Amino acid sequence: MGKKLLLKNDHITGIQGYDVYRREGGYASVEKALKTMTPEAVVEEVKKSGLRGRGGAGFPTGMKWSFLAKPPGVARYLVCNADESEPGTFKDRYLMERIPHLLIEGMITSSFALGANTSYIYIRGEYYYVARILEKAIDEAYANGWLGQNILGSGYSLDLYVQVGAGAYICGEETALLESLEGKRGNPRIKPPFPAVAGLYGCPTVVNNVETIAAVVPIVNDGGDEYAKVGIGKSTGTKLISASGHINKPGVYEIEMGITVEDFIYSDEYCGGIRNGKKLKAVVAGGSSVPILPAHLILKTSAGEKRLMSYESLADGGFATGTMLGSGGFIVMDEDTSIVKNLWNFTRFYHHESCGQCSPCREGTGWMEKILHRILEGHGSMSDVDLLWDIQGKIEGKTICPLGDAAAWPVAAAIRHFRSEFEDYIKNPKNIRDVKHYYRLNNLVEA
Amino acid sequence: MALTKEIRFNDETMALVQRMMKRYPEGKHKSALIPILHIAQAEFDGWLSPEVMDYVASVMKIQPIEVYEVASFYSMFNLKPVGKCLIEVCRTSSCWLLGAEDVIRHLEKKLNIKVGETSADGMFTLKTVECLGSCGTAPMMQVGADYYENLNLEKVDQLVSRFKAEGKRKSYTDQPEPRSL
Amino acid sequence: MSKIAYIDNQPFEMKDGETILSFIKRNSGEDLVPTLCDAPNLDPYGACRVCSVDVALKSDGPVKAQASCHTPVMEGSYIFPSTPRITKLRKNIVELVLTDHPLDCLTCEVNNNCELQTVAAKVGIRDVRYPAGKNHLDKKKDLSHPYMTSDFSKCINCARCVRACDEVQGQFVLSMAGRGFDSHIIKGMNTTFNESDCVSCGACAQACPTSAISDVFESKSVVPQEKVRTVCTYCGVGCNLDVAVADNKVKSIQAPFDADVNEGHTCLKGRYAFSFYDHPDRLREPMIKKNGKFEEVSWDEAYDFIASRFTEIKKTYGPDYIAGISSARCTNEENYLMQKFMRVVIGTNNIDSCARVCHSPTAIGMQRTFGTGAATNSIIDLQYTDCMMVIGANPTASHPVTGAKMKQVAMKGKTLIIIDPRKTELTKYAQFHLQLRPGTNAAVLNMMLYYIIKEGLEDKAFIESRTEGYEEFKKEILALNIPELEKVSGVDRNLVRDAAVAYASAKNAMSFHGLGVTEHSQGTFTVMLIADLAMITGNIGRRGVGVNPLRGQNNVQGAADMGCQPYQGAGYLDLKDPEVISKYELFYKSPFPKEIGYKIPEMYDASLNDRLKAVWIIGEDLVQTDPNTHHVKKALEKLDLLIVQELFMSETAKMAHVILPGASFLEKSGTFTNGERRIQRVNKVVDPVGNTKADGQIIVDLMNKMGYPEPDYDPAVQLKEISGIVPFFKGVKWEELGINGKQWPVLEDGSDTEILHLDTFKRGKGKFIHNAFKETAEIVDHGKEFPYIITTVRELEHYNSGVMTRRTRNSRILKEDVLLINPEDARKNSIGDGELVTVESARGEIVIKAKISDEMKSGVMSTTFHFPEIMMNVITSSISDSEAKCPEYKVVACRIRKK
Repeated sequence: MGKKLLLKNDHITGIQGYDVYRREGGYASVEKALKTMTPEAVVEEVKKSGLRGRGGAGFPTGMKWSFLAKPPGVARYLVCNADESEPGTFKDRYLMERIPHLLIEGMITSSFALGANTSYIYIRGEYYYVARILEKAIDEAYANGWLGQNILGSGYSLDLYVQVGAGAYICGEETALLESLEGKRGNPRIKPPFPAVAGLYGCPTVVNNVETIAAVVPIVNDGGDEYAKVGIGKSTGTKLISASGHINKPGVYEIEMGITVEDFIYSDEYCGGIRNGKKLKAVVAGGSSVPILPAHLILKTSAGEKRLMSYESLADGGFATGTMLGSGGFIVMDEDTSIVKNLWNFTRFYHHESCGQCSPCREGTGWMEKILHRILEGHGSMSDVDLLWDIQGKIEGKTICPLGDAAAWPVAAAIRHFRSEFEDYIKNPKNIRDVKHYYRLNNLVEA
Repeated sequence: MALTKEIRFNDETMALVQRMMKRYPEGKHKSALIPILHIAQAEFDGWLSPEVMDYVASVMKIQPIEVYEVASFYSMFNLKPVGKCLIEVCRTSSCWLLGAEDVIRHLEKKLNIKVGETSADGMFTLKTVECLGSCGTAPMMQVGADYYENLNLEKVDQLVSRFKAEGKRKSYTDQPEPRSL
Repeated sequence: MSKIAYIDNQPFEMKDGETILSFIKRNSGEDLVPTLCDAPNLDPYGACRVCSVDVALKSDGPVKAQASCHTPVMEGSYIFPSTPRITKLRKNIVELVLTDHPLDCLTCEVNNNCELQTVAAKVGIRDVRYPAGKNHLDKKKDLSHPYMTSDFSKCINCARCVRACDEVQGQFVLSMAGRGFDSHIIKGMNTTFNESDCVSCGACAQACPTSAISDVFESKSVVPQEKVRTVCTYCGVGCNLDVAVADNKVKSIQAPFDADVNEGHTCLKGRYAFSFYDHPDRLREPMIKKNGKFEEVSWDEAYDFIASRFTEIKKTYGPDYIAGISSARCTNEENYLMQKFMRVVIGTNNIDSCARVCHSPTAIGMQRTFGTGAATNSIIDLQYTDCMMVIGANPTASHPVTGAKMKQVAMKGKTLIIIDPRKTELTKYAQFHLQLRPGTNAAVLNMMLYYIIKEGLEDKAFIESRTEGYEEFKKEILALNIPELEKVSGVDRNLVRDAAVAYASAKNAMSFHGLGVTEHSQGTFTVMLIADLAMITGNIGRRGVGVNPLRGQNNVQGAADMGCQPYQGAGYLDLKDPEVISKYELFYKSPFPKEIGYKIPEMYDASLNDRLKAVWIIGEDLVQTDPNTHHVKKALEKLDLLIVQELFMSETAKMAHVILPGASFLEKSGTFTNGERRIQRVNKVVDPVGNTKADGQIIVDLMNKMGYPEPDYDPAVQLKEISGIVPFFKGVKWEELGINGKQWPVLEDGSDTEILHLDTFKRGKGKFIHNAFKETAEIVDHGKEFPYIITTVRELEHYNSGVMTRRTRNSRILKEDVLLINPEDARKNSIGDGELVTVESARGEIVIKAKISDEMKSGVMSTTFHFPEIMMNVITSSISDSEAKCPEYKVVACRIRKK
């Protein structure tokens, strides 16, 4: 069994409630930080831990915190990004639903470190029921003196609120999230200024993912150095992986970074292998936006080394032969999966979720979907593949926010690794019919 | 479509709305717009009519256009009337890999409506939505506050029968059903 | 050390905080990088991505495409604006945009002047590789509005219109609704222009890069080469206008971006209300009333008639039986000529102008306290101020471009204090609204001064070094009866105190006042109190402060500057001073009248008392706009000779013996001086219609007819003469005024002045003068019998008597004068919305339609006087400011009953 730092207590009965959580050692990090540490010391521990943002970008958290501007007399904010919307990702919901106090505890400790006296958890609207769980936990934390004025007599005060969104993938992008939190349309902001200088209400703001903030708890409890001992290289600590698709045991797994991809897919501790004895065809390793890799490249790098579950190993080979750890949304596809149709499904998603601000993304995502749809309808032409390639290249890195990249990468990777499948559909449209109704529920067949 | 009641929050809801606006710094109460729209949608027949949006604007002392531009951006806000049960089936990625299309076709047949339509009795509206963060329990759908996961057609049938029998309006803001963890 | 960045490997000096786009534009030309969503008067938006350029952080480093419009230049970076990669990127992006845009350029109104078309051509698009797909080409056109049009099938979602509406006008009528591919522009709650709260400023139409939003004049169809730049005539802001002209006809108007005054913005009057100029109602021929009927005559006949009558009257009664009223609508040169005519040709100081009925108290009040009767600062100072105090002014309606700027400043969090009986639009943005009873400005300002002293917020150093009379002043202020003042003004003393504290503690506080200050019996005294407030807090003599009258008419400043007032000659020289008289006599090589002349209200009395026989009025409708209409009419009827020089058959013109058809501002050249003392060039756009002539030429013709040789009207010639006598015009030369004019005083070397009283006041030390509140006689005499107060105001859509704006489509937007009445008062008098009401004062009564509104407090009502049907001024009084004789339009005691 690998080491668990976040989910070690997730199956204890009653861990959702304050009493059990506290009994199991909860809120120790708040006690330690507020009573024995300065905010700077907490930031220092986070720096030492090597923790990297768990939302997808993997930016070092300690560094992000140290960028926070601190003009005198200006409020600072910590905003937790619980807008988990990247297809294939559901770890934050799991964590918040199972151990809500872990997030609350992390928010208090982190807010203290950043000098924020008001913090918000922005949670996607569809998770309304999870927001209720968090609100209950917050009420308990207030009742037990972990929130409010002069916490533990330290002189530090914090108010924490949960804010629900209302259905927009784009609000997972931090500046769109801030716009939404201000009661506006979720249009990403141009940068600079970055949120660390002018974020929520124009004040210095840090936006961190749920898992990132939760990881601050063990870091403060055990020290940054201890945390850094877990994992491999610059991929320190553990990572929550959301495993889904054609596997025997879908679910959320906390892994120690550095286990092999092969182990993760095939061992019984994790995914338990491909369903129905099928063969592995491809994996999207870090949420729908990261490049899809065919079986041989996900299991081994192009140099023939075993691919590991870590930031560096998954990225080995760049986009030519590698991918990204991303949000840890691990989507597994078996041998019968149509890559073209899967890609169409993804592009439809990005078209639906584009905010509409930047012209390449607003128009380009639509055209990518349309062209793929045309291919799937049997009306594709060979130049369509090149056109797709062209469009994605004009979106990637050419938009205000990374949604453009997220929409472009899957297209590029699918063409890069599975070009022949596209060409086959275009040359032999009748082959499409075979996949059109492939996806059926188990034990149920209805025409 | 006539509303079933006057567009006005009751005292309890109004108190909640006022509390929500106080969660933010002075002058930043517009931040409460999205949470308040959720409440308004739940309160006034599951959708945001222009009148309801005007009302929210007046309660929040902001311009109606500020409400409309926001409401029309977010997919959970309905700008047209919907049935009492808005069934939202996830169609993305893992759900799709594991049979979301079958769930959708099945519901279309069963409810005798197409995606985007409302059943004649006003009970059901069928909608497809993008990833709801429930990929490990695919396929799934959301109705009101609740996630219904690991669906198969039998389960879908049971749920539809139950909703019909209960006949209640479902809202995101409802008290969720107990979940086994 | 200067910082360097590179464009195509060439080093250039960069400025801190500069965007890559402005860096490239500055060094490699405006047109190198194409843009779609960028606009000169809007914040960077970064959405179209067409402006992308390649950037490497070091020489030969890896390049990354970056949107140049919003990305700051990095020191030492290497920018490549047009690599093949970037060129292809731009082409592909524009191609994507074009997939959702109709390809009907040849029939589009903006063909050949469309930014999208230009950019598409520039990036080299020949055809679009995408088949027809889902698009928005079926969107319906919106032709509901008198001016604004939209065709959103042509929209490219650049949001320039939305941003113009928000960032320039601050109206928030336009927005983006929906998301992604479905995002689309909406007006209000997804309605039409006509149904929305649009104020028709046209900023969106000008901002739109295609014809998705345009106007009925198709103003974007015109290329710049066919435009003439001139200055608007609808208020004292002095917006520059780019007038498109073809075949001697005005086609449309836009606002130039390089205008210091309006920076690419203007209001619906400036932009759209121009079609009056060739309206069939225009007076086109001189006319003489014969046997009670006007008959068209030749200019010569008209001139001969006038010259002989003037000579006769002068001979029979003396020159002081003749008077002239010049016009603040006319140019400086024309005003100068008119006063010269009266003084030098006729030989009387009976010359006044419509400044009398608006800002004459400002001139006197500020002259007495500071030494100069003009705005101390400039509109650009709004960028530097921390607090704006607006008294008796409704800038969003009467000075719309300045009003819009104020909204932007207030929205950026700067303090705004409004002292006004009405809930004006600006009150929505204000921290403090002191909603006083009309006629009590002096009471409220006295209270503010009291609290500033009480709270110890005076600027002692400033008072000590720059002012005089403070100790006496302070004593009088501290002796005030605050509860009494609170009672008369109806404003809570705590609110007044808080506002006073906010004004006094702001780092830089700026005050603005309008006719709600001046058109009162205590107008001049109120202006002095405003000046006192500025001095006591040290808010004079630097950026972002000062006392700034919002001038009503386009050239009201200039009319006074040029000497169109009976007690001061050109350049405000005091006619009571014998040395001044000698100076003028020397300059004009002619005898100069020594007696002070009549102010306009005094002219009426003089006529009724047989001491005035002839009046020549240029461009003013006294009958409709001066108070107490019956009195005015009686006085005019009694004259032997009434000459009216006008554009239209106004109520006053109808009474004239001779009518002289003048040219409008579009038909002549000259200069206007705006409210911030900026002398700007007015350039002739079209030839005068019909047989009309520039007012200046008419005056010159009559001068010659009366035997005084004067060269033809030519602004360059008259300006040269003016610069010889008006001290603060010393360095003004027609050919050196440039596109943005100069702010007086203009020194001999041509340098001008943005801020007055920098180190010392014009009069040496600033003088504190206390003036106690005094109830107007209107209330004292009639308040019991006539318990309501009616106050007169203006609306955005119309200009004063409305002779011009009523002859444009503005009259489709605002069709009539109405009486704004508080719901409580309406209920008490059983008056319903839209019902007719009889309003009666001690002078007379009018019947007007009621509009129930909470804009007014109970007991106070308001109305406009834009339409002659109502003749609002039948009920206004002859009471005027004790010093300047500016009429008290703002307080009329009345009673109401349902008709």
